[in-house]
Amino acid sequence: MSSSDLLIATRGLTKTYGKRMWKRGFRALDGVSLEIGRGSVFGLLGPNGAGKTTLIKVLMGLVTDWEGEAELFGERAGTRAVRERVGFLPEAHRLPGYLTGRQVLRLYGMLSGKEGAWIEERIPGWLERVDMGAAADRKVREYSKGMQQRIGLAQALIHEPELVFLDEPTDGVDPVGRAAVREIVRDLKQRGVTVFINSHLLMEVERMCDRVVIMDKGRILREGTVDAFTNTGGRVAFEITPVPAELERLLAGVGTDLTRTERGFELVLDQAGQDQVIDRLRAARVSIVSVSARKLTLEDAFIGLVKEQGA
Amino acid sequence: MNRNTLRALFWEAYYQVLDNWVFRILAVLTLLPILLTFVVGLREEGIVLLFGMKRWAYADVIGPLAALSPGDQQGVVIEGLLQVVFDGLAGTFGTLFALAATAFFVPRMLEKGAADVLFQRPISRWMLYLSRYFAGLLFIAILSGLLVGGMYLGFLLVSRHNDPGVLAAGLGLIYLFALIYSFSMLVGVVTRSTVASILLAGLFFMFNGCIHQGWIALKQHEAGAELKIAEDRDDDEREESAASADDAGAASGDEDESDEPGTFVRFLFGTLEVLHYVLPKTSDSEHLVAKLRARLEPADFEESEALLAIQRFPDGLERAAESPAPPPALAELLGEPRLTLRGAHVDGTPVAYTLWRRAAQRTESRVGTRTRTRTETSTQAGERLEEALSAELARPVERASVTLGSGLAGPPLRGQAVSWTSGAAPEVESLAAVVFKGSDEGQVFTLLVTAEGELAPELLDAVRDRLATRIALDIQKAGEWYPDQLAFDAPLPFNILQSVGTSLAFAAAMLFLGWLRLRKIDF
Repeated sequence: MSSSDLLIATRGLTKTYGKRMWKRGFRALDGVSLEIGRGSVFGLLGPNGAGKTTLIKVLMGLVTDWEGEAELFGERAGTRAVRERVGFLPEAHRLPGYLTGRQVLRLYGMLSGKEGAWIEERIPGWLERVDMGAAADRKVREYSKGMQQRIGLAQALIHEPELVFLDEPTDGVDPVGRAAVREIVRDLKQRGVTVFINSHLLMEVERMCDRVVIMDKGRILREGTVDAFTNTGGRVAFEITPVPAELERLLAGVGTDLTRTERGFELVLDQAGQDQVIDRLRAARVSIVSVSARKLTLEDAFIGLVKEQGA
Repeated sequence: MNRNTLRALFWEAYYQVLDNWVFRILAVLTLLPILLTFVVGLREEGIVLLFGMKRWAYADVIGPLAALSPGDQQGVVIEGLLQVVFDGLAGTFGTLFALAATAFFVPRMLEKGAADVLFQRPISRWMLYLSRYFAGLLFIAILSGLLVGGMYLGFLLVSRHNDPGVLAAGLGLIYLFALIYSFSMLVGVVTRSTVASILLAGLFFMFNGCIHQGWIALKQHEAGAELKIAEDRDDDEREESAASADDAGAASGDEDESDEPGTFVRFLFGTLEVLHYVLPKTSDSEHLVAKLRARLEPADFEESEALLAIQRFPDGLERAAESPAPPPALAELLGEPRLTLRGAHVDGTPVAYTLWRRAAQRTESRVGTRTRTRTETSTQAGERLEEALSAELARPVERASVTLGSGLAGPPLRGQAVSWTSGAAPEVESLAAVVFKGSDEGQVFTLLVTAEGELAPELLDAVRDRLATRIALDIQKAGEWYPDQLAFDAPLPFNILQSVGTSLAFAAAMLFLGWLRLRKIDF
């Protein structure tokens, strides 16, 4: 990837909290090196204390005194010019309770440097998209957690940023709201906006993200597409009836790593092998109920990876 | 930073202030004195309730206080009320309340969650910090503007008392708050605690006042000592001219070393001096307001050396360019004319007032080898006037002690009054004279009143008192030593520019330190 395509680039990024002359402090980021291009939806995963939020805050300029390199859009992270192009929904954010939802969007839009008229034009649309049109003129302090989350999402997007960090975007949001959030993320991606999602709801991440970065103990463990994380290497599950007693003999020479399951079996094989298995089962008068490619959930992959690193 | 960002910061500060419940309470409390000025009219002729529904004389309501300045009771009562409201309630309690109400601005801005949303914006931390400072100033500006503007309008519309100088008090409140709030913000950013911010800012406010008052007391004491030494030298010089060289030699140059303060005391005084210059001069704000007010609403007449002033001439009297010639028999006792007013008394009688000034007589007497110099008192001046008139009129003239004007904070002036008639019908004139002194012992003033026709003694007294009771020692100048020292052209310790400059520098330093801390905070 050429440097002009890079949206985020960090090299040896290290951040230590509470470091004093007489104190070593806590190293939240430990030499993080990462390169991310434009137009994807990234999931940032990791156990508690992995350094995910610190990484985002370094990139947003909310944390100071870090070491290494961190760039957004080719400029040093945290500069004013960079922040104009970035939107951020922090975890457990608190919006001014004395403002209405509409005023919040107006305030943060203008604080992002946009003209009042430009903002006013877009406010109704964003209120509608986060389903807050009816409550737009109520004070934020009267909002439920889910409503605050929706307005928080809108404030992160009101100035139409090129890069968005969403820290737990569906936290406290009902299923309908979560679907709306997914819809918004999909729409952002279509418009070429890069979205960074930090969430513990791995199912949501799996549904929204193309690529995933997994962190632990201040380091990046692995980065890749969701498929790469969940792919089991061609493992296929067959549900059949009846399950022949001599199954191993019946399928001898086709595929590898045959494992019996409650209603059938699994084995690793390619498309040609799959056809052969079906032919043999039919010849042995075995009914095939279903054939499905076996995949890990992102959660399984995540837990496996973290445990593996812990071990 | 563009215009939109600035607008947004102002707008956010405005909503934050309006939402504050202490602000709302203070706003309601502010409305009370304003309401009072609309309901109760403090007019020249007396006190009226609800535009004349009920009326009282000042003496019936404020009792003995009315006697302090019978000629300008309205001015005295309004002045007293303004002092209570602005210096006492708003200047002290109001400032403390405002500090308590705004102390959370910074800690809340730095709370987790709130800070993330705000500090991610493309605005410098310095601007965000400064916006909270201006939010605090906006808080006090709205309240003081409401208080000052409302009371000004109340007095103007209901009491018919136009005193635009009162608007200066609003600036004083903002200035005072701006100095203390900068410290409150520093505490807020360092501790991130509203409670710590309130407590420490309140303590600082009081500590700062103590330091400043202590310094003033020290300086006043030093000035008194210097004055005493100077007076002693004058005596020595006088004695030298009258007594033998031996005696004079013995009397001169005697400095008592035991009066010199010890090392510890000198250290304390030095510390006080340093603290005074470093800390903001919050106590000066009310003096600066008084001076600004005096500029906006100058007295109709002032005798600066004697600190005498007539704030407002009575209605119906106009200043005359030319002064009348003094009665020949009194010419020597009157001196030079300083002010002449002509017009009509409230009953339509044509009247003229002339204020004369002359140097007080000095007499020397010898006691042993020492020569004593005595300056003529106002009673002696009254006696001389009485004698001269008795000789001129060839009959005894009655002399009485009278009280001239004063304010609530100033000492009353005492004088000697005589009255007589001159001329024959139909050209008869009633005359009255009041002899008195201001703050300058070396000057004697005589207010000579001339009314056409032969007036009853009570009426002549009323005519005389109409102006006499408005002649007062300048309250602000005479009431305290320190305010008189403060001036733009005064030496550095009492220079207004130094006071304001070092105070603002302190506030700027507090803001700078706060910013230094803020730029290192990890959210």
